Amino acid sequence: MSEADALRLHPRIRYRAVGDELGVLIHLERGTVVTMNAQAARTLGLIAELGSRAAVVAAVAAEHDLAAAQVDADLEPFLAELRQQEILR
Amino acid sequence: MRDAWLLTDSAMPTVDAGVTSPGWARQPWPRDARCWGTECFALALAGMRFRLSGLSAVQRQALHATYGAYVAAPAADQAWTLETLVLRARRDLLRAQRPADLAVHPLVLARAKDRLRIAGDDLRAELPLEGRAPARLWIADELAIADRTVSENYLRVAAAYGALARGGLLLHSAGVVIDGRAHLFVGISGAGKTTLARKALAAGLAVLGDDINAAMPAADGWRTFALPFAGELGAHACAPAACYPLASVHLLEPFRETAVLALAHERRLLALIVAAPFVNTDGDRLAALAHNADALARALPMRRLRSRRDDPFAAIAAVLPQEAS
Repeated sequence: MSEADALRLHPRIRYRAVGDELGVLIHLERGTVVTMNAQAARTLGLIAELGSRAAVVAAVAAEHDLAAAQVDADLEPFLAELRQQEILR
Repeated sequence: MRDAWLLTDSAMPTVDAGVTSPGWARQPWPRDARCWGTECFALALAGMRFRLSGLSAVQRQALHATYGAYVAAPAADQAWTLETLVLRARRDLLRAQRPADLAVHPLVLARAKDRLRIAGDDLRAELPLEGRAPARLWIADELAIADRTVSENYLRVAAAYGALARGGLLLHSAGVVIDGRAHLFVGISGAGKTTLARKALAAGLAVLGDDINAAMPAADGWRTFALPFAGELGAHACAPAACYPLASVHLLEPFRETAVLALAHERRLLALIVAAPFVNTDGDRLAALAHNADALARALPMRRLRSRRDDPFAAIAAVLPQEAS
């Protein structure tokens, strides 16, 4: 896994699924709370588990029966928002 | 699936303490085990008992003068009780171990194994988060216990963790009673809680509190409790030790016109978590916090209330849905 491919969550975040529909995240360093839909919560779990953009894209593509290239492009705004909120390092 | 990922975020208020200083938790800590005396004083807060022991007679009298409306009945019932030993500490010791974050926050919290350490300018405390061990509260001056910055600050944290463990939440909110049922108006500092509470008082309504109220699950629904935690309105303007069925929760927002708007479930969760002091900065309590907030958000009507600063409470009541009017 290259450095560019690596996805690392900020060590001071905690997150939890809430039922099947939502997730909630607390950023302990920034003092923010984030709620998210099920897809975002699932993807956050994949990032924590797999740690690689390529692996996360492959997993999401397989789950939704989509082309990896399309998922990779669609995922970018979400990853950008995670970076902006310092959820991703 | 470009729009498949949705995030909604909000900043938490910074006026409260946070579990923000993990390094500080490893600093030296008061070890003195000497009590001030043999007296005790028990408060009933949100259906929980908080029993302070090791007090001198003067300290017990001082606590009674401050929290007399909240004296707990004898422990014949099965109410959960937090025992707290009040211990002596040297003033120079408290000052020497002063966390740097106290320059910003009135309290600093830090986890130390299975305990929560609490520091304020004139107090140190340890709250057990597991098991039945007593909590410990160190103060340097005998009468500091009567100072609200000591006893109230300690009890706020203890009540927040106690409520969370019992399925409830302490919420930054104004609590107003309409036709025998309570309505909570949650909001961060500056959202207008005290202003709304003042308007409700002027309209002849009972106000539970203008800063922090408790929402607790009960067999017949959710209930809310007045707490002796004074906001700007002051403790004496509020209904002491009162308990009412909870009818609705509104997220309070100052605005140029008064209106009630729908609130999506993820925003309800967000509002409740942001409004839950202390525990919302403890990552180890996120599961319980999310669970309790989810339960409350599903059980009760919860909306956004935009309120114009100059409108009287009658104008607000007029736009509240039926269960709130």
